[in-house]
Amino acid sequence: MRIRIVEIRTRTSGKKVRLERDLDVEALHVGRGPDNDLSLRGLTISLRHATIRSSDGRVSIEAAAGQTVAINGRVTAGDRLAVGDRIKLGAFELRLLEPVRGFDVALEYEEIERGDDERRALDLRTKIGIEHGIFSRRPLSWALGLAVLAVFFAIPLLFGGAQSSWNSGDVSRGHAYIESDCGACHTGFFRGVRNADCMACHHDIGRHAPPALAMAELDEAACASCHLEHRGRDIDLADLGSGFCSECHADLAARLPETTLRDASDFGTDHPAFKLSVIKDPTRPAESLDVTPELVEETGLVFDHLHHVGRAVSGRAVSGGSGEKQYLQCGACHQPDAGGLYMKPIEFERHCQDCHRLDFDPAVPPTFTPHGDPAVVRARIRGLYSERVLAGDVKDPAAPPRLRLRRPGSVLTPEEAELSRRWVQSKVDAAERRFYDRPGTCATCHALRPGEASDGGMGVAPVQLQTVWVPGSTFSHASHAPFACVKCHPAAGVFDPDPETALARPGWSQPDAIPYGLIDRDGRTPTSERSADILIPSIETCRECHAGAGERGGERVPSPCSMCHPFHVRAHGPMPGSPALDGSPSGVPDATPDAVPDGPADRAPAQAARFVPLRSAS
Amino acid sequence: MIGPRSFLEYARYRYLKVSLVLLLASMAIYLVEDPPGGRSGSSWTGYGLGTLAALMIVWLMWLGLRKRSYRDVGAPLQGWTSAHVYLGTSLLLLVPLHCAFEFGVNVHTLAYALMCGVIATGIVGVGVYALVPTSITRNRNNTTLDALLERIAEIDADCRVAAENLPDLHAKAVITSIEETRIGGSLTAQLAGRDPACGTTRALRSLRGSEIDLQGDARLQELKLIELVARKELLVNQIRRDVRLKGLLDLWLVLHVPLAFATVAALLVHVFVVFWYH
Repeated sequence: MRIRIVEIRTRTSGKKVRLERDLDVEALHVGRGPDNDLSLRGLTISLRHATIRSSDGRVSIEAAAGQTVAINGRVTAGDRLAVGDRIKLGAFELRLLEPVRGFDVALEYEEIERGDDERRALDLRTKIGIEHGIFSRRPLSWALGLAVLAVFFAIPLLFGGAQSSWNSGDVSRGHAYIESDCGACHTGFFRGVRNADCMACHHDIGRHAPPALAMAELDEAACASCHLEHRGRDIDLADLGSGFCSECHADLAARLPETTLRDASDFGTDHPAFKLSVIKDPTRPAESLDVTPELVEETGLVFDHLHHVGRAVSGRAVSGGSGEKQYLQCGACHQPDAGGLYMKPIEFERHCQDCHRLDFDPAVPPTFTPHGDPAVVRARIRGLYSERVLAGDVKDPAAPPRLRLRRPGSVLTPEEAELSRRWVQSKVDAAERRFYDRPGTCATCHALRPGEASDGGMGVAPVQLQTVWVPGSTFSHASHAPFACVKCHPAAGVFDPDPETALARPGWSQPDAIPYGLIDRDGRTPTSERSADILIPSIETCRECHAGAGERGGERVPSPCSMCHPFHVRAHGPMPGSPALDGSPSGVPDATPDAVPDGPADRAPAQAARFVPLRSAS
Repeated sequence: MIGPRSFLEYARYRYLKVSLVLLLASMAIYLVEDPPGGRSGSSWTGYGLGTLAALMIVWLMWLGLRKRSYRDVGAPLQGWTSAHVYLGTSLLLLVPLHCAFEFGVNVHTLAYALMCGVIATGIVGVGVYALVPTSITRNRNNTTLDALLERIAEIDADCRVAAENLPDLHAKAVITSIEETRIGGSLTAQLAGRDPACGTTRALRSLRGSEIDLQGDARLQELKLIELVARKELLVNQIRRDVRLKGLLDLWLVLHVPLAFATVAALLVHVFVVFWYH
């Protein structure tokens, strides 16, 4: 086999040269070893890699055992070759050419993969430095920064609903229901929550001081400057700490000379004794008075606790008619109002009538008069007997026979009319005598004033009872319900053993406590034997359980000012900026007793107007 | 390279003292003020400390930028680094004082959390700067990375020559050693400091385990090849240790800087939301 081999070599200048040599061999051995007919450098080429043969004009290549060649990119162990085929062997490419005359085979080869610079190849396989692609400072900075802006700014801004990430903290429990609606309070950009935003709901929130004092720094302050939201569910927005109040109230007199309030900075250590709203004249509003041992009230009513609570009374009414003697509980008369703050006013019909019946004629079935103006009572009694006459229903044996035997419906003759008038008057007189003379009726509780009634007859002295003694505070009986009444009102619960019945001491009695205003004058157990006694406890009684706001860890209740004194007082009118000021009815200053109650005089007409119809026990 | 002791102790701990004074003053103001409604980020103290902290963050980032530019450095580089480290760390307490220790699941606390990440990576950075440079110097042993790579390239070339007339097993081992030896690579590969599948190690194992009984020149040639590949393995592992140490030196910074930018982004949202909804 004659074969022409052409090597194409590239000079360093880049110029290609052809080097021809001719061989006459049985077969052309190709490999890395120097003993090959065609020896090619490169460790990827086997020592004896392949053999090229030619027989009958057909050229073929055959790889040695375990080796392969790539013919025109196809990897094979051996195959026939055609002119133009390219055989890839290591870094070399062998190309089969059309043989020239006198040759069986023509082969051209060239090193097509340049013998790489080892260092360059090493550098290509070497990757040093941890910052690559996104994982390098600059791209990562942009990515993280933009991600934060997108997730926590752009998306909430565009889609609103995701604004929970902007919520700096849970809102207080009272506002929790609008927590997801930011716009409920934050009505505009970059202007904060304005007072009008708060007052859209809290429209009747009151001023702190009367408008006349013009305390703009309080009444026109931003709500949000004191009531800080978003600090947790259980934060009390109204609790600003006593320090807030004492900023002004510790030396209020110096700041506000016209004030009548006394300085206070801490309930436990710096709080004046209570001033009480005391009735000194039942026809006039109560007066706010300092408490002295001599202070008494003058209500116009004769009443004492000892006879009602401290001594056993007939249980006829109390126990449902059993008649056994027993002690009256405080709650028999003193019942908290629906709000639990104060006691309901004492009313004859509700609290007295069961025992003190206003019956006036034992001869007829039990008949009661209404309680109230004696002139009205007289007119009612007179009317009642007159009806009997007209109805021909006079059964009184002392009545004139002509009245007793009258036919119902007939017209009274002048004579009969005169008889009737006298008889009715005698009955009215008899009824009045019962009321004024018999124990347990009018004169027991009321001072009689002959000739002072509106009809010129017997009248009673005016009466006014106090229910709100400390109007400046929001004391709540309901929140003190676990304690016996006598814990704070000891003089009302003095026990006077009943020798007749030998009843056991009631559980609520507390004979050795010192009551307010009755400081153990004679070394005896104090008690209330007069209606003039004031049984409202002193601040010392409160301090047995209540400490100043700053006290922590003690057994007493830390008591901030706001526990008893509301900052916003509706009676002073609504805060400026309230939509209520636009003329809605709720803007009218509201003097309900749960704000600052007005004097009892304002309530007296309501009590007097209450009408309880005459009733007959059937 | 700045020695860590030098910048931590700079000017007799001047910036440590500055930071401590700043923190003590902030704590005093925080404890003294008892605003209505209790302490919070929106009290005057809260606004004041928040503004201070925000300005410090911006300034510290500028410092970070500043201390990398070696030209035109107004103050000594150590001073900038010292201030950066101490004032930055003080934010860890300054910011909780600003918000009166109120945290929640929201963008405001996210800003603080990201800032904590920045500070934590920064503290790691200080530790890394204290330990790693010495190790790098010791590992390099008075040479450079480039020189080491150059020597490996030379060995590779020598191996090709040495294996030229040796059996295919040897040729294949050399090819493996050259082409399948990777230095560095992925983050984990760089930080690992070694490669269990290293081509050089496999080539060495294959050569040493060869059962081909060579004689004469071929045997000498084989021994020379084994020595070359063994030397290459030592060099490759030396470079891998170097890569690992440099990776450690850079890793904290790759987290530190992007976290700082994320902190600023969260801070911007925080400030916007706070003033929008103040």
